[in-house]
Amino acid sequence: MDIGEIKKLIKLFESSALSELELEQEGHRILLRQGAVIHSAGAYAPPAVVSDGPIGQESAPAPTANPAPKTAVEEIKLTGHVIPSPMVGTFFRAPSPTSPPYVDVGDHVRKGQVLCLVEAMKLMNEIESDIDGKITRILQENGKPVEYGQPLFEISPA
Amino acid sequence: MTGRIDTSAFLEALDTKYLGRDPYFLDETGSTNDWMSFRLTQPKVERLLVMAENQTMGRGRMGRSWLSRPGENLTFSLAWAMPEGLANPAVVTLAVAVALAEALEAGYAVAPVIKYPNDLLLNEKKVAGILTELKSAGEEKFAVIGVGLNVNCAQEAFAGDLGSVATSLLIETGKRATREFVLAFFLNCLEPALELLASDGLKDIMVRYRRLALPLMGREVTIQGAGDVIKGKAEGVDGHGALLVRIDDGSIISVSSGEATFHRP
Repeated sequence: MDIGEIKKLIKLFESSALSELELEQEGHRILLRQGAVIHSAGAYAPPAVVSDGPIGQESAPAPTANPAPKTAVEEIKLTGHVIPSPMVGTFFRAPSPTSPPYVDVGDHVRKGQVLCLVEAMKLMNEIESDIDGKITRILQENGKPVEYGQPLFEISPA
Repeated sequence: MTGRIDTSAFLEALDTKYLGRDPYFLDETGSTNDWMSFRLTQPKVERLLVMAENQTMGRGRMGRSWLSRPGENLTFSLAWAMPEGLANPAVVTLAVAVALAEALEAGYAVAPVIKYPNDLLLNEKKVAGILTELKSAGEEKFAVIGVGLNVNCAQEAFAGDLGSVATSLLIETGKRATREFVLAFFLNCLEPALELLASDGLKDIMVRYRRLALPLMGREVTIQGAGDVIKGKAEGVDGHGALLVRIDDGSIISVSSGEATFHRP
């Protein structure tokens, strides 16, 4: 899928009543979100993630600092190593509501270090880093649902 | 009949191949799940069981703790190496709930109901809770299974509002149960349930799970803590362990995360 097609898709998506659209094609995955998600988006949770193609491949334009338009479809190129969610569940950045988060953007992490929890059916799955590196992005918001394979963290390898 | 657990009585009643064969009965620890988590690299970790009369930092879901009653209740943890090929690790919790419910049913002639996903109720009140944590040790993943079960605590043990939502085997049956036996009966049920799960037996576990969860189906349910609040009618549990909820527009959605409240009719 080329840039033109992605732009077309975004336009179509914006004019629709859909809040989320995920498309997988020939190894490329595109996720578009709009609506309520924007309002709850914190510093670590971009309102929308558009990832296209294998990691590192030149794709969508870089994120801009423009104020959010009606449908803030921010496009992010995931250039680093991505830690995906191994299961459907709820994403938690800390072991309990009163604890500090496991990691923050900018933190150096080691292979095997716990980055977050994903909870489903009251099973707390500790997600660990599989490489040494620096956290460059936290791609999900605390307490929000995540899907299988959805990127959770971007890490710049050490 | 208070006092410490009698290890030989426990081992006498234990009928497992490995689960709980190497038990540690402690007076106090921070949290039995943490105790176990530090020992995951130990060989034959599945044989370990740790029980504490008092947990100073015991925790349930999201930091809430189970009521420690030294000499009366059971708060313990065990570890189980996650088998490869288990698509969704979260179903371990469901197998634990099934084993605990079946053990109480068979051993104490009570009728436990599973409140989705993994609380055990007797007469609408909570008698047991399960917290499973998935942790890595080297290349292996382990489920650290923590259970809190109210055995011999009297009604007076539940202060304030707790009395209307919590119960114990003693309160429900009028008889004190021998904790050593309760624990052994549970492990005797749990080992085959986990082995079944490891050998592609999720379907069978889910059939048993549904029977135990059935009494709360058809009720209005509210699910919080997994993004938006979901309200609807609980319709059942699917083959992957997700709760099926019929929402206002008539459609059915599957929910597998968050805190479910089933409203009494």
